[in-house]
Amino acid sequence: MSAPFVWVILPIFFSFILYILRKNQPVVGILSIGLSFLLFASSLTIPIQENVGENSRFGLNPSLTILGREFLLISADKYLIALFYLLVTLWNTASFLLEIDPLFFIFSIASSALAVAAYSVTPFIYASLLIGFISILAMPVLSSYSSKQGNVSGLFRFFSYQLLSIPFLLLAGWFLAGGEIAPVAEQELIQASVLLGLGFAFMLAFFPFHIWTPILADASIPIHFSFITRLIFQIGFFLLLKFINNFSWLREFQVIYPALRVIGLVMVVISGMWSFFAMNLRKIIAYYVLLNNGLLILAISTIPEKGPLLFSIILLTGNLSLIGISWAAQNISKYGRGFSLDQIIGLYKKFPFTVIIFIIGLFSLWGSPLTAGFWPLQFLISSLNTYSASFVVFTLLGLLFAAMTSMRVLFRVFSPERPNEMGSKESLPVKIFSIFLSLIIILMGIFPKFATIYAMELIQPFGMLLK
Amino acid sequence: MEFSFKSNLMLLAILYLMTFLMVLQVWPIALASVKLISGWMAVLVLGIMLSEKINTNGKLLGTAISFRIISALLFSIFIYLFAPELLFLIPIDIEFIILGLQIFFLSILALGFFTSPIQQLFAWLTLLMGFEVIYSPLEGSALLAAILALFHIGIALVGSYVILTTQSLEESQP
Repeated sequence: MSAPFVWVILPIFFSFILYILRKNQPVVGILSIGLSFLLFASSLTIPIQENVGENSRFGLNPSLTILGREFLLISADKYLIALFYLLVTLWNTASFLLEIDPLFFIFSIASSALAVAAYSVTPFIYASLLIGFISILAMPVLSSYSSKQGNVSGLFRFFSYQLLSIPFLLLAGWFLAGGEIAPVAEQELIQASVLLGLGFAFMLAFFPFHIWTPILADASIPIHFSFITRLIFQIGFFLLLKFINNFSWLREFQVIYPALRVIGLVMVVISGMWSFFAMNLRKIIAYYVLLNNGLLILAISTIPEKGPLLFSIILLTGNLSLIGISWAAQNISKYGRGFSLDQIIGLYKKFPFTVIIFIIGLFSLWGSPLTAGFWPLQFLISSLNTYSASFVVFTLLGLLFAAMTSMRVLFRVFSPERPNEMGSKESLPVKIFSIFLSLIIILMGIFPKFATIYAMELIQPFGMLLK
Repeated sequence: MEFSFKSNLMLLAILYLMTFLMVLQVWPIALASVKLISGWMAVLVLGIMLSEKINTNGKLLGTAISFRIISALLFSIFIYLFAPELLFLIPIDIEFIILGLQIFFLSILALGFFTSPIQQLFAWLTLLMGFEVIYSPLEGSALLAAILALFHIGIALVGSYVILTTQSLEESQP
């Protein structure tokens, strides 16, 4: 049996079975949580036997060939596979507690398998097609709310932008295909970089191609929106790292890192600023997703130094915080309160645990002390300082706006108004999940070493960037 | 001037046939026919799922029509004039570049012009077709053909599903 069969084909097969059972929400929910956890645990425990002569009784073959193309997963990739399935387990648990549409569970398993497929396909230029396929599958899930509102413009914009990324990435991949073994001419390198830049700008919602994000968030269930955008962005970033890692000519191209630094900076400042003007939780979540994207781009831009480690730790902490805030926002709206900032006044009385994870998640995303986001952002800012002090100033400006947004939400939810709304409405599992997520985010802030160890393992496949 | 859903479907089917004839010049017939079959399947899916529901013929102002025609003409002239400049970038026959870019950019124009979901759906399919005309001479693999074929059918299926769910909700509202 091969590794791609276990972590790509089997999950897709099981998602078909879950689709047959979709009428029974609790069964589909429990099965999908169990399956995603099993895939997560198996990725850490089952060895991948890279050499035929290896002295292991059981181990998976690293490659699988489908239609003449190879899907390859080596043992260094196992932490990355584990990350995808760990996150699906957490997202599915969060969704199960909120009794979300069973279609989401099915989609989460299938799309994560496609993300692993996109990561493992060789030559990896095909990855953009598989990521595009995730956006096709995402449309019915996202439309479950937006079509009820009769507002599908965000959804259609999202897909248009994702579709536009495919031609550029495929053409860039074709350009660079010979670059793995042979030098590429300077002219070709510039052309390929422009195509790559456009492709990633469309896929990863770089400024100014980010406009669909708040529109889509405003017409979607927060958990659906955050999971889908996060998954696509995450695999997109891994694809970007793979491009830089595999092509030495691109890696050593002088323009790449300063360009990424400027893009990341603009993303951080603009998303931080716009989050301050957002008047509902869904838009705030969208801008925080973009803020985290900006920070990830900034981390990649410091690659010759600490970039890969910074990238992986910001990715880890950002994921946890986004699960927390999206889940909390959805939980609040489920019990009759809307997403508007006026509707969250005094909410702590009714939803104390949900409010706590929401606030902790928001604070972690801009790097507040005592949260998981603190250490990586300090590290990022000190790394940026080695290039120019102005990068530090503008990054801090964006983060300051994001911090003000969090403060505004904090003051609203802890406002003493509405004294009649006393008594918690939260169930025991909701309280436990809130405490669990909050503790993880705080403990990762106090003891960053444990997260750093995992983050180091996560970037092992990008060996050329670690030298 | 009226927009007819059925005539649009027919034009889309013809466009798929023409793409097939273009791709046939560089790909073996077995692989190229995947494009035609998947494309026509996408047309069929749209026809079956939406023909009952899309019965309105959107009327357009004469000025809007002339603006769109002028824009399309301007783009076409631009592409025709500057396509040879792209030959050093993409070393394929000039016909592929001109036709592929025409379809690609006209569908981007359509994405900007049209706001209705069904017209955006047509624009997505044609955009993908335009890209395939350019990319086919560069690479012809079975996996690429299979994924792109799934893309066409997937877009048609999912797009129709979204349009149907949105529309049925609009109908159920008083």
